[in-house]
Amino acid sequence: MPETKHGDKFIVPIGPQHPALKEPGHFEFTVDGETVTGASVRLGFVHRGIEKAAEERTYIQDLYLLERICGICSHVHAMAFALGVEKLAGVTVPERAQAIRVLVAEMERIHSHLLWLGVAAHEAGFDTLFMYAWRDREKVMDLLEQLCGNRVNYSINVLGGVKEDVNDVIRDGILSAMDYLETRTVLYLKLVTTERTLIGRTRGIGIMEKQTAARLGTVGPTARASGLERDIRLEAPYAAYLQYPARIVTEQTGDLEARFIVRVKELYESFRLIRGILSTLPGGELTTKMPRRIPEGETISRVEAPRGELFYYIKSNGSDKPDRVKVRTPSINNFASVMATAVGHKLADIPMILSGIDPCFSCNDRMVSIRGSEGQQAVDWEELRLYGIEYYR
Amino acid sequence: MANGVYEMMRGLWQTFRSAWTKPVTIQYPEVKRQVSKRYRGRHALKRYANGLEKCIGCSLCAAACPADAIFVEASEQTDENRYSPGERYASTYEINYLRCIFCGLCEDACPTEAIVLEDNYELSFETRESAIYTKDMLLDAVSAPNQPTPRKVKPGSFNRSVPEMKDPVD
Amino acid sequence: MGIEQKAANLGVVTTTLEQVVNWSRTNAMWPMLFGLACCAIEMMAAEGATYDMSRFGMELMRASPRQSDLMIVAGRVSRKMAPVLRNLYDQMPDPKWVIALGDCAACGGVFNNYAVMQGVDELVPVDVYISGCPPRPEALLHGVITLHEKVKKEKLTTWK
Repeated sequence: MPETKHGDKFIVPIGPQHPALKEPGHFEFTVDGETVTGASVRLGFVHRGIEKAAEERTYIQDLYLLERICGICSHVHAMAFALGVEKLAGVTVPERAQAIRVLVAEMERIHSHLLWLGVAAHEAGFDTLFMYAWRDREKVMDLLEQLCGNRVNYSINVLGGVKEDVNDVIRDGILSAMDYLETRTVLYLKLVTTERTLIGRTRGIGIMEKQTAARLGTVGPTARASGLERDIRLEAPYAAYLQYPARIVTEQTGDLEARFIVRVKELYESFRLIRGILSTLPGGELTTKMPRRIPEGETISRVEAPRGELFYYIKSNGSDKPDRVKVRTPSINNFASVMATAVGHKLADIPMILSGIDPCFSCNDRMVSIRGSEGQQAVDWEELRLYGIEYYR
Repeated sequence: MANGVYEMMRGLWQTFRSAWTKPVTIQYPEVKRQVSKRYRGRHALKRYANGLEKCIGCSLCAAACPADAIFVEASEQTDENRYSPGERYASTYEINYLRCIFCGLCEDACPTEAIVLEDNYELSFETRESAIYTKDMLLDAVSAPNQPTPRKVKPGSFNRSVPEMKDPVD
Repeated sequence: MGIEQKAANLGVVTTTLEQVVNWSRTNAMWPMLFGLACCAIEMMAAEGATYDMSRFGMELMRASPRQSDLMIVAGRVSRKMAPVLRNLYDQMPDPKWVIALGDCAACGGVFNNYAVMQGVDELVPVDVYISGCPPRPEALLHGVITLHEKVKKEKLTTWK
């Protein structure tokens, strides 16, 4: 095992290919015996140059490109981009389209949370729950395939609306699947709060206080498990969340168990929202006319992805291609919390703490990080340029 | 100790009980599940009821494609050798299935509804070259009473490349 | 080394041996637990109860490359990941196979730019390419069956 001697402490490198997660990331944990005393992360193994690629494509093509940022929460990426561009163009999207967007977003939240539940249980060595959660997740995937035409990258958004409609067959299918999933969720809630094998790995592990969570800028279920009331669906309602308000789910303890509970309880919230949308789905058109060239300007658009706040900055120069698209995904906000909470824990708890924030590495890898010999440092553009020349010499 | 044994028996009881339930596994190569109507699988180039090709070689699908997976080359046609009702037809039509992301934008872009994403998802290849589908692989077969294309038609019978169409359903 | 060289032209004996070994190789092909992006989600779905890859002898996803026979490159390979991927491939024992799952692994897909390898076959020899963005779990199983057909055709003299 490649261990670097560093005083009388060891640095244990984990990754990029590692047993804990299926996506690549590199971590270095300084350990004293078995206890972690320091942690650092190195990302960028899935950097794809997607923001640059977005500048070379038209707005319509970007929708399909940006959908492929993340394989789990693909719809929210496309929705955030579409909402931003529609705001720039000054177009009002039909109510029915907005409701369908929210419907798909909530179904995606169910599939994402079930996926996470399975993966986190797998990390805890509780593979039964993994199999259960992934079996039930297939129900949602089938529904999404029926509704949108694909299992993962749905491509249901278009600029100015949505592509596909909800018909009676699909509505009945969704409603009956929600009933089934609700009975299963009762079991999941019971499992994560009473099952000893799971509690042994989650209760009291990775505790993050409310102040720490606020200081580190965590978002989404990770923040809500620490008692922070952060939810873009409520703070800045977008699409149809004004008509179908979500209720916030928080826990106070801030440990891994709280993160399990928050995510499982959010499933109930999604079932409720989906039922609400399907019972009062507004009629009308699915799309509205969009100009091909978007007027000059810049805007931001924020949506609540399954992992937290997703932020898009879009700048238009009046042509049919965006001038700049900046994406900030929730996982990047939450990563700092892993590094902070890992300290003081046993090395064996690290995979659990890591998966506790529901990390999505594909989402992250869109940043420049410069590390000198003395930890983090800030550089200006000129220094960065010189560093780059020196690095590639 | 007794608690541990109890827990273990409870777990095994769950396993025993599950052994008698109906398995959810789809026995894939033998049993193939029907994909949904909206599923976007491999493309097909469609024909009109009279057997002429719908594709007029306008390359709008190639322009729309976010992944540059489609290559179209159009050629002029005469009434002696008629492929499509329009002025031109697609002499080359290639889709690289290792580029195609199955987003369905080509379907939306097509003015004659010539290209449709169908339900075939079994696309695995041993070489990269074999992933490029040419026009004769994509084009639907001619149905019985119709002549294959190119065919000889009466001059002046086709002069409109985009016919009247109704909205597609599902 | 060994038997296949000594027994290379014993006719019916080697043919049967070929069949037996190839059959056993196809039925215990352990994939490496290695995902890169969206396609990894579908790979995990294929491991789940509904599709159940263990029907093909792929019960175990090995986290260590030294215990695995099959590398499923699930997702786009960035230039930063490329040396790591090659390193992992080198660590796998022979015989080994590679499946490029999805468009991005097979040829870069929609990411035709500076950051993504235009096909993982620039790094490692690929046996089967699977198209789709991402491919359905059934499509992955179809790719696995295609690979099995390929392995069954392998000749004794080219064994590793």
